[in-house]
Amino acid sequence: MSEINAQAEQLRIGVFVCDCGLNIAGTLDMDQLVEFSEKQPDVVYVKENRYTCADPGQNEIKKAIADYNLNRVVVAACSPKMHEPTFRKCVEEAGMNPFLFEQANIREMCSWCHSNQKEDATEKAKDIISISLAKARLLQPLTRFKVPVTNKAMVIGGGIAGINAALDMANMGYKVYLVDNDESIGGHMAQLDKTFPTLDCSICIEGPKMVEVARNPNIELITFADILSVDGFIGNFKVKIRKNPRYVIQKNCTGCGECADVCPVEYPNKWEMSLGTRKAISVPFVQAVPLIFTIDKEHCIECYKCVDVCGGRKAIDLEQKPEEIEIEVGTITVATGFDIYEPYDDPKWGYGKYQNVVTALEVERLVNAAGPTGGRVVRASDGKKPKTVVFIQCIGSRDVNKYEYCTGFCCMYACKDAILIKEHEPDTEVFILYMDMRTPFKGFEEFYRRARELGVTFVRGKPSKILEDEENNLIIRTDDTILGEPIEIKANMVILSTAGVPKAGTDNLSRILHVTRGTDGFYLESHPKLKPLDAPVDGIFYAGACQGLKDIPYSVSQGSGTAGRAATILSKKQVEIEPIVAVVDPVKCLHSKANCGVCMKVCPYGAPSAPEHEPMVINPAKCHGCGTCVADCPADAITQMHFTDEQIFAQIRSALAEKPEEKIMGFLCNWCCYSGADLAGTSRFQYPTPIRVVRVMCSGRVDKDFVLEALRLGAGAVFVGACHLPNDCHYISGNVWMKERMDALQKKLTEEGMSPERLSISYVSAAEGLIFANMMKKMDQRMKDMGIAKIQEENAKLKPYIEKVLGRKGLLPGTGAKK
Amino acid sequence: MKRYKAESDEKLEIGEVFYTKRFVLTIDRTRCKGCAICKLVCPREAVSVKPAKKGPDGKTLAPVIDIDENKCDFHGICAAACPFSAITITADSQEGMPAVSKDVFPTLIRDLEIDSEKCEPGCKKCEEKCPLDAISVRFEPLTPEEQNERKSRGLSAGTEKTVIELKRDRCAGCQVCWIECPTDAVRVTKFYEGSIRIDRKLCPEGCHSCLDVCPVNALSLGEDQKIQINDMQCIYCGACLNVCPNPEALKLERTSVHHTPVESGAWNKGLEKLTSTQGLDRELAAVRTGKAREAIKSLKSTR
Repeated sequence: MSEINAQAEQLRIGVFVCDCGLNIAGTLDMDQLVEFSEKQPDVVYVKENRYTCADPGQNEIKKAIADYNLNRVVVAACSPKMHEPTFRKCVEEAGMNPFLFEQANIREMCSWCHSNQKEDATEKAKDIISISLAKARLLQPLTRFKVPVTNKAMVIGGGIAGINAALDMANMGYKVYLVDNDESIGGHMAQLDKTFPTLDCSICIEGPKMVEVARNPNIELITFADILSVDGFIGNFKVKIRKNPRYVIQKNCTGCGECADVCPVEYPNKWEMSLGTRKAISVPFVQAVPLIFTIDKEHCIECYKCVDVCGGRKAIDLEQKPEEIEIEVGTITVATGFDIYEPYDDPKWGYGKYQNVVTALEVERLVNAAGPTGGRVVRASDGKKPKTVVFIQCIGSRDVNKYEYCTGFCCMYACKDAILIKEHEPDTEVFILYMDMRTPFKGFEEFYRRARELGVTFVRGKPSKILEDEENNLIIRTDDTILGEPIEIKANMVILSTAGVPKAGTDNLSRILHVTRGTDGFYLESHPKLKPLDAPVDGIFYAGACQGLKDIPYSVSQGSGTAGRAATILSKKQVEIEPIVAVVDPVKCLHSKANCGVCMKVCPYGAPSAPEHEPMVINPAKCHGCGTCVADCPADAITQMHFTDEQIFAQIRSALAEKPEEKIMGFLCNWCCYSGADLAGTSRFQYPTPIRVVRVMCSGRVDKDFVLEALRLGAGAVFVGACHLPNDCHYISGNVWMKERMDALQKKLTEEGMSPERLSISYVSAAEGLIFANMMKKMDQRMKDMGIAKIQEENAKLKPYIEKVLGRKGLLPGTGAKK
Repeated sequence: MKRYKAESDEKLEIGEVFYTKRFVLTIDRTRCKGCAICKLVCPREAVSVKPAKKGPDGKTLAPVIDIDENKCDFHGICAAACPFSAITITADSQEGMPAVSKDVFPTLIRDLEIDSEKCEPGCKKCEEKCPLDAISVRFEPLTPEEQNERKSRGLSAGTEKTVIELKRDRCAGCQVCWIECPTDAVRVTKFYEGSIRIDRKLCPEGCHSCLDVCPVNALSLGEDQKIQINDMQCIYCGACLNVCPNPEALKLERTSVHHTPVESGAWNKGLEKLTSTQGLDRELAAVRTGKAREAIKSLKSTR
């Protein structure tokens, strides 16, 4: 069916008012809403449905479109975050462009949160419907862009998660580039001795996977390399990589190791947690993949003995330079893992001071048969086996002064190391000092029991002090909260179960990829429940501990999961891009006249670009549709599709048409504040009715002119709701630019005579429904306290300034051209 | 892994301690003369020299050497190059320099031989004059058989024989023992060869810091109260250079080094730092010539 051309024809709007069972009909007067809608200009059909989203309801819409030649559809029902995609698809199937549909939220934002204010709620619902109609009248048909897809993938990070992601994608038939900045893949799993809860030998199970990666014809392994830059968008990423010099020629090196035998210089081996040494030319560990030697130029004295012994193989090149390459891929999976906290900065544990205080990862290397002591857990001070070993849990984790989160695997690894020590030396006395034992997953509780049955003593308490005696033994003072008494333990060795932390370099990589991290420093996923593997940037995925600390099976699952996610893109020849993008009017753009560049400054995606003195062009595939550039453009030269200034002005005018002094004009950002307000309704938190909401994709879209227009029309107050600073903005920095803009505006308006609290710039997350409800209560109270007269008086004072500003831009109705 | 530094008047000790390996470097402060050759050859620039101080009697004290324990790799190139064998490296309680045991750096050839049979009876001049305690002389009674044996060889009779103990690692080749020996019993060669000159015009009046610190008394005050050099005794260690207030006044350079055979890029760099680029070129040319000679010899012998 051909799409109905909306432009040339006269508006014929259909309004579908939904009962939603009793959710809406139980509070609002549906007859009034139907009657009201019928009276609105351009509305030719109104229907009340019990459940509009169900099949019968959808069929009603499709039938009405056909029968009544509708060219706009408004559904007054639940939140668009619930069913906008449903209804868009529905009208599309009926032959209408899906972007000619608008949803009026009379449930989460009306019936559910005002259920004991029936009359006011019904009046508000009428306003909500007319706001939606105001926008619907100005909607234009939009087409989704199609971009070609490069069917190759990149995985950044060769730990167990990245290895699995790469193998799965390669076995699907896609070419995969696996990039790691270390000399070898394997990550932390390669450093472990055994894994919980099965006590499998770690490198025995990971080694074959590492070799499989090296042998797989679809995987190109690029190690000892850094990511320099990532350009592009979903299906079309261009990645610049710098291969750092090993001073060894990869294809000539056979990994024989004769060079390391003759090398005279030894230095601490970081892979062995500096417990052992490596030569200036060496591999970090024997099972390294790829098995290529590397020279550390810091320690190499250039004696050339390695070159001599390598002889005819000619694998060593001391003049090797870094090599930069560029790779094109369709998707990027980030699997960069984590680091371990080394508590040098916390003096009470004595780490770095007392020789026999070590971290659990150091113990893994000690107990490992291939480690520096050949599998003997011994004290650093005298090389003797400890008779009493104490584990201390939660070092750095669950600590508001350090890392607030729970690392999640330390309880298990402490049990594991305790079991291993007990099995090696059954006479050793082992204590685990814990806050809580968290062993929830498959086989974990049984593993904890196993440790207890082996005779490990669990003491619930966190030590306050560790002292050392003359024999390097450690005296630990702690509260045994179950006994209810303080106790003192003399240990020969203390093992600290320290926190996992975001890997070093995460901040740099997140900048390169234009992705955000949460407040805990780990990468922020698109949705914590429903999209844990997706980055907010399309085409980028997260696997493993880089997205949040997790153990090996969970990391493996995520690795495979991202392979599936990536395949949804890689399997297609093209992907569709949402058309809610910004477009520049080349005539108005100031870049041609004055090299303006404001949009470039505020865009975190690098979407606007242009050569000097030419009008800016926004790459629609890079544009994410936040609208920040639209609001900040000094020449008002940019339009955002589906959220034009014209549409928003119409919504404001409709909202404040009657009794404006009693209303709050609200601009809520789609991802945080609007969702938070929805949550207030879903949770049935009740609050007063004044707010009239205009939904924008990002608070960055909220133009100063919107606030001025609202005040010009006599609004009681204005509310701008955004994502929390600094890290929550779905578009990375939209809220930052909004704050700058609005703070300046608030200051100016206060100077002109406005009470500052009448412009509320607030930050509400999608989880903060109660906070939103309370904000509404407070604002309503303030407005009542001020009284209509005072509000009108202030608005009158502001009028000259507002009319000057808006008039200059031609935005006053009846004057100048509207955009 | 732990790194430590322990200082005392007698020694500086730095160490790197792993679970199963322990590297220790010790500078014996009684032997170290502050020449700072170690600083010159260290590939990691781990050595620094603390500024020279004056002692209680007004004499300039030898500069004090400090090593950064975080930079030292304990391969012992400094120990191999030290003229006074002041630096010792131990790995797991075994003394030895990894750079030397791995053939990456040579040792200095301390060629000192004293034929005690040629000694004058009762003479201890070498021990008395040696500035570095490298020689100790004692006298033991001759057994009748030894007396007869000597007579049959035509040597002078006597009741005692001289027994000489040499601590060659302390010998820096100043040759004072050879100069002072009344007979020709001593043979000693310098391992550092070079030249030393003082520009009298630039040498400050009344300053004798170089003299104060010279470990082998190769500098002395002449009658004109100006510094005089005894070229034969100078070992070209450069301790004087470290305390001379005017960098242009004292010109000291090393031109070659007597060392055990070695083929190593690290030694080439070390030689260049110790002497000069020409010094390095000269040695490499000599090595090349030597190799060519051997090649021709072997060709000749196959004919």
